[in-house]
Amino acid sequence: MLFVPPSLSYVVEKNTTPTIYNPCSQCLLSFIYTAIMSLKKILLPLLIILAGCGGEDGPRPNEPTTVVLWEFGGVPGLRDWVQQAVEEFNTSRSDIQIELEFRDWATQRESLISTTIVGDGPDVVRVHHKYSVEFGELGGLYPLDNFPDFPQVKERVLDNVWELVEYEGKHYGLPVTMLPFVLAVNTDIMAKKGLDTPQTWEEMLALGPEFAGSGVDLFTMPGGVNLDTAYRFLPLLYKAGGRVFNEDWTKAAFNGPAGLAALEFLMAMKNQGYMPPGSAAYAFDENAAHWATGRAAFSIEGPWWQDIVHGNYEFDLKNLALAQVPRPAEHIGPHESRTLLDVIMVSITGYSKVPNEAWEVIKALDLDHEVWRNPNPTMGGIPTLKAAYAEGVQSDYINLDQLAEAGANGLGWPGHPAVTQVQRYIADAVNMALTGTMSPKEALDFAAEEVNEVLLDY
Amino acid sequence: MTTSTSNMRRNMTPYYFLLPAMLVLAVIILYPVVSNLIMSVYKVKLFRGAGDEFIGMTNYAKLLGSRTFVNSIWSSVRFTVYSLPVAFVLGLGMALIFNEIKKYRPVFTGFLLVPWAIAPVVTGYMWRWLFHDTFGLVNYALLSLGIIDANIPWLAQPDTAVGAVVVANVWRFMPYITIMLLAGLQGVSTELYEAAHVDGANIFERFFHVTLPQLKHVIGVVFLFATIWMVNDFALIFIMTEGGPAKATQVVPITVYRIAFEHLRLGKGAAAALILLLFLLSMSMLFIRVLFREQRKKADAS
Repeated sequence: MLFVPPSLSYVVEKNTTPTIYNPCSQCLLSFIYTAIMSLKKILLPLLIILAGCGGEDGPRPNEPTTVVLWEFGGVPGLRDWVQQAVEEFNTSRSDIQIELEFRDWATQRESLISTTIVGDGPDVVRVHHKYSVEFGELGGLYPLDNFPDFPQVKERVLDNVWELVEYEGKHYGLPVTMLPFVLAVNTDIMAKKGLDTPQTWEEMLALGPEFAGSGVDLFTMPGGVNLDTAYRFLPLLYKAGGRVFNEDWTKAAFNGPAGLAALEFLMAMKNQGYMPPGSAAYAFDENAAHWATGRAAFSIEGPWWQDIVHGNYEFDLKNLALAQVPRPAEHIGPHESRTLLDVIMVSITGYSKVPNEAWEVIKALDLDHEVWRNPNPTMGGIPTLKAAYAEGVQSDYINLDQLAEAGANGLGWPGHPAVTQVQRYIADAVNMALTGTMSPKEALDFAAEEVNEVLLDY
Repeated sequence: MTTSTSNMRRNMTPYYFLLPAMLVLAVIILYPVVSNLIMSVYKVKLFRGAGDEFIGMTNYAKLLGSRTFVNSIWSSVRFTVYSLPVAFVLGLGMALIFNEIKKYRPVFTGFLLVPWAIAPVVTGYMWRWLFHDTFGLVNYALLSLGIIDANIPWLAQPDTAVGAVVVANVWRFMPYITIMLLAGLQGVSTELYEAAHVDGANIFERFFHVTLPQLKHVIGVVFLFATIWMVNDFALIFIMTEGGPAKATQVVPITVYRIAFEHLRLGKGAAAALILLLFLLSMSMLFIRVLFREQRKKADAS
């Protein structure tokens, strides 16, 4: 791949390589631009020569095709399985070989941005579903609809998850695991206090006094300046009948009555001392440590929780139960009550030179492999294959019924290309409110203003 | 004519020697800066194929009118102003002590360098957990000593979070300052101290009238470098607080990162980076002017 020096700007058309164009029409800038372009005349041939020294591109005849797979973190069980499955695949196939690389979960977006700009990188990525829209639009991912057997593949996966990987009628990833957000309950704490799991926000707040001064918090959540914070606010927003955007996605709607009620509910818990004082700085790890060491009764989590708290903190799984995220006693609306659902998908990159081989790899690893037919807590999420929910399927998941119910009622983040920015603004708003820097209304309105400005670009 | 050409050639010779270095500097410094400058006056649409839009100074106007950006400048200034004097005083104290230690000085110096040698990301995680409200050693120690009676959520309150990142930064920077000042101290002639002693100067007078003036240039350089590094610091604060809580520790580099790479507004991010660069450049020039004022005066006089 030829390195293209950072230019004044790039235009990367969908599924095309970057082309440089001259945006300078102003006099002084034109001069500088010309100077830079002249410099490029010297540098570019030099770089081409250097790139030419790098070896041959593509396999020789009779050599297997290499498919590069970037596995973005996930839970330890999933990593172990991927490692093993890739080894099995490479042993069984002589025509295709997988080159596996583990990457940090938090670097997905940066990796996709940089590889899409340069038009080079992995062939297959396991990433969050929200990138199907952002990078589908940008040409960074390959539409699976191009494969002739896609309809048969689509048929084997639960219907409600396909909309999460769809953008403008095309599907940019195979949804592999679902992550519905539910309430994680420490049943040991609840049993000792003789309390039941709350169904509504009011019931939950009413439990608060039982915890006062006990050294155990009623509820904990990551409330720091990170996206996990937005992920704990959104299930409450959805439960109250709110949505992130208005109907035509031209304005923020999370600052409406449902959003305000959701944030005020969190504030009520914080102000009355039902949440850890440090939660406004917590990221996922701190929150997991707090809950898993018996310091809080509830946290809004998902199917990954069982493996995380047991694997990382040796939490006794007998004391874990999952329930639906509480909702307000009186529906606020204007939409129906849902919960938040995330999906992990496997995608082919838009610049892959071997999309057909990559598709073979995806089908072998993430569709046909038996591991996806049995919901397995070590995989970080519940499977999206219909076969996983057939009668007689055994599973080690705690409260799989609750997860499945939440999954069926799940609604993802809106499939908007700017969704990551929106998540950031929502996280900032929640953090502002939790630290008492702004009132819930001020914080949400401030974030909504920023989001509205972002939406103007689309 | 021949003499004049020869003179000109001779005069130009140093510049020929400088040319390769200037070319390298042009490629690795001037080119990115100019690219950044140009990008800052455009609304850059990285992928979308719609082409960039020339918007003049709009990015700058938006930034200077943005509460978040202005607050982040204040956060950067506060972070530096709080960190630098503390790190300097402690570093100077350590340097004076180390200067008196004759035996095993290299061993102590080696240990001293550890905080400076650790990667900022590791330092950030270490201090993040040290200041954790429930599991952190800081609260544990303070509770054990009876200084506090309940855990303090250090990183969850704006004021204490600023204090926490300053402590971590001081811990990291102090060794650098110590080493620089120690090197300076070892260059101070013992005769000056002996003369001061003969004149009846006590320890404080020797410090203020001999040590400090002799260290003036080293102190200037230390302040200059430390200021640039602290204002530019990203990793330590980002790992410890991600700029929170409530943006209290969101320094300019974090804001630049957010604008450019999280929100993908590269033009605006470039403008923010350029404002940071101008701020650092003007500060550096001021430092250098003050630092070399005496030499300039002497040169002018001669």
